[in-house]
Amino acid sequence: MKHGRWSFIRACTQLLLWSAFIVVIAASRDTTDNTFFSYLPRISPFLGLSISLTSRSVASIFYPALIFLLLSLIFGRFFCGWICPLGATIDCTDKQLAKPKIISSKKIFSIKPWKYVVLLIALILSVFGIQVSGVIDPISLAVRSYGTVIFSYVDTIIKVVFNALYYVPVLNVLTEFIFSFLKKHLLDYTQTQYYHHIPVFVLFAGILLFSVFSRRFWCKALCPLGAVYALTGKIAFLKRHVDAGKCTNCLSCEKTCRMNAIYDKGVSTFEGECIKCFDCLKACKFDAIKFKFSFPEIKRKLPVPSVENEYENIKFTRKKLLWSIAGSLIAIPVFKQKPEYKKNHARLIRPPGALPEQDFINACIRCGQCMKVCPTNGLQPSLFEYGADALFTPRLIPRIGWCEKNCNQCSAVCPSGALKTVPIPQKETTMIGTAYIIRDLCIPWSEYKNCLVCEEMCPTNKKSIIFKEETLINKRGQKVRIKLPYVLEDTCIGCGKCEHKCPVQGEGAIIVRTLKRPLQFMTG
Amino acid sequence: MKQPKSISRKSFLFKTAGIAGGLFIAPLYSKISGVFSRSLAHAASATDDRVVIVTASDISKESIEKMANKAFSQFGGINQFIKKGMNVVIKPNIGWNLPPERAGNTNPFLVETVARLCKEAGAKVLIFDNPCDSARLTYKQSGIEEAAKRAGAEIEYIDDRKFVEVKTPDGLYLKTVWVYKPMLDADFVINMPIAKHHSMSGLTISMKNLMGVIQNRMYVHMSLHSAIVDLTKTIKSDLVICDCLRILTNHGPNAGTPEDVKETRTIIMGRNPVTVDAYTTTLFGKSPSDIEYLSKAYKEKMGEINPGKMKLQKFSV
Repeated sequence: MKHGRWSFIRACTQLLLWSAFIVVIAASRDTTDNTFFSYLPRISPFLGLSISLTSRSVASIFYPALIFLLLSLIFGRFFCGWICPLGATIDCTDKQLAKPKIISSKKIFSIKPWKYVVLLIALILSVFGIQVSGVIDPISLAVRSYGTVIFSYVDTIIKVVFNALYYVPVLNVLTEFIFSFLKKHLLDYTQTQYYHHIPVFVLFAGILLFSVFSRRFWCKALCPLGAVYALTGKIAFLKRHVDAGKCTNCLSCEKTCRMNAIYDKGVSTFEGECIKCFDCLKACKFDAIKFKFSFPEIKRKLPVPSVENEYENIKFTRKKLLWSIAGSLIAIPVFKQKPEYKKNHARLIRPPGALPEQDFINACIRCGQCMKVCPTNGLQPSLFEYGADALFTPRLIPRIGWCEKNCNQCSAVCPSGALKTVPIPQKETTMIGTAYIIRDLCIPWSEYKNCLVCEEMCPTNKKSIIFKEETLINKRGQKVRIKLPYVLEDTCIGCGKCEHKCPVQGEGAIIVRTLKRPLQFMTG
Repeated sequence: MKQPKSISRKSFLFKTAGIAGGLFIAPLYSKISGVFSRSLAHAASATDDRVVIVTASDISKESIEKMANKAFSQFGGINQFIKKGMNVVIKPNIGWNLPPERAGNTNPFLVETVARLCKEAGAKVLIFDNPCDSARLTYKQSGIEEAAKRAGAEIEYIDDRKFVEVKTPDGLYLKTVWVYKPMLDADFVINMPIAKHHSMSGLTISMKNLMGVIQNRMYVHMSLHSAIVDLTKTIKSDLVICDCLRILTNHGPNAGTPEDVKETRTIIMGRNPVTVDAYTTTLFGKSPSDIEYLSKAYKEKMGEINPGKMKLQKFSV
């Protein structure tokens, strides 16, 4: 019982780091330099490994992950219980959700090795140049879900509630005071909304809902990062020891363990599963449990089980290996079958500084940080429009928001180098697409009335949308002087401001498409 | 034993719902009864159509302060306009995500100086604009957010709920327009544009600056000149301080290269936006009648546009 403080310290640390995680995401709305934000997903060795395999080089940008990997050789799988933001979220919700009777604890043991299958499939796909690890990596997933969906959902809830109260006299003096405080210090400057927020949310909520089967079901059974740490945790120094003389086999530790890492009537531990939450220390009434540093026994044999085959299934069997190979074989065509037009889709506009399309997809870890920091909300996650392997990659939808002049935040926060940082002076001439006028919709071209909003908005130096004043004969046969807009393709950078501001409703009469030809053939 | 008087949960909920419902319906009623509907007085009255032009040898912060003080002294000092406790709105041009050297937005030092003078006169100062670029970056990049903080003025982002429909008195193009409410509620409005080239309207000065306080501004571009005249009629500008410290002579309003920026080191102050705008055109080497909205305003008898007939007062500090 006296060791209960360790369990408390862990819970406090977890809460503190989770709060820090939230603060880093929330603070990204305001600071003009968000470079610190870019370190967040780099703490995942799984992503580092996967990116290294895909790019066939050492992804040295992921050096923070190495620190945690080395630490895990000492402290075991502590990352999951102490640091992981997704783990913290699951810990918050799983007690309420868990219905322990759905799956017996014996079954849980047999589900555990599936996380190695997930890990192996992701790595095999990486070898074949298919990078989807970011979709399921817990750090990337947490950043993406919180940064894009959860924050904008909270934003929307607050705004909807306070907007309703705004029309209530007397009371609105108080609510507006609170609201203005929130707007000043918490909410985003523009209401962020994401086109594909539902798939992102469903994936996140689904992982939390897995806890219905068992506590921390995701971490036990599916998490690929958890699998990496389970492997290092097996040979770590910090281990759980049970004093057989004091232990009464009361099973209170086994019952309290959220990872089902204890077996054999509370005596033995799967070190790879133990996340060092120290709940068992707290639960043990007989002071029989100790966590001690000892040299790893590489060829440690499992003790003789009291019940036959109880934990035999936790091994990564040959069958599981076959499953992983089969799974990755099935996944290859799912991700690789991609007609050419999806790769060079006219409306697929990547943020400035993006690598060439295939390299970009392979390097992007789908953390969504670029979308979070985009001041105009124009960067949006894609779904399957541009191929399954481009899932959740960022693209610019100018009708939602344009690429802001004097801003390079998306490339500054990119943790994986999929977006190369573009210095602001260069950004003004970095082409990401070209604007085209749809003359049948354009007001001057089709209605013979002046408009020129696109020309006014064009932010490139000396304007890339120009106008010629011409005398035309309108549909009723009258002579009219009209200023007709034209796009200069060689200086247009495709920022999409014109498309965003075009007063023609719906799709707009000026649209930004990808470059007509590859960039090197555009100039000269 | 006496039972304490208690309220059941059911009746509590009913009563709360009743009160909340009543509060929700109250503003609806007042809307129907016309309490909130507005029709403003003819704004651009030509009571005082002097134009004060102050030029300096440089555009340092000190010179800007001197220029502003000199200009205000011609009107009898700032206390002539602003009394203690007044709500003053300063509407600069914070349209574009550009630094001050690129002449995209009103000079932050000028905004700071004017805001500070108003604060010293005992007024509450509010500064806002509806930028075309990202509001948060534009407020920062223009230096005006910083300037407002230094002067102790309040700066706010446009709140979409605060637009109210206003009838335009004999509008040429607009019948009604949705205007930002704090602009209408202010006791004194200082319109602080920067003089810039503008492809569609010719030049953007104080009249065009009013586009920053209306909703859905891109829909007025189909008949821009008439719309600008309508806005000037509808929305009052009690004082116009035109920033001609740096003017943008080409590729306006936002895409000027450093070569397009001309240092004219001037501020122009007046009470009638039409006359101020008309005089400002001469800095660009243009004649006021070249600008269609000025000729239209002249036809509507909103102010003198011929610089020869204006009451000009020129100074240099």
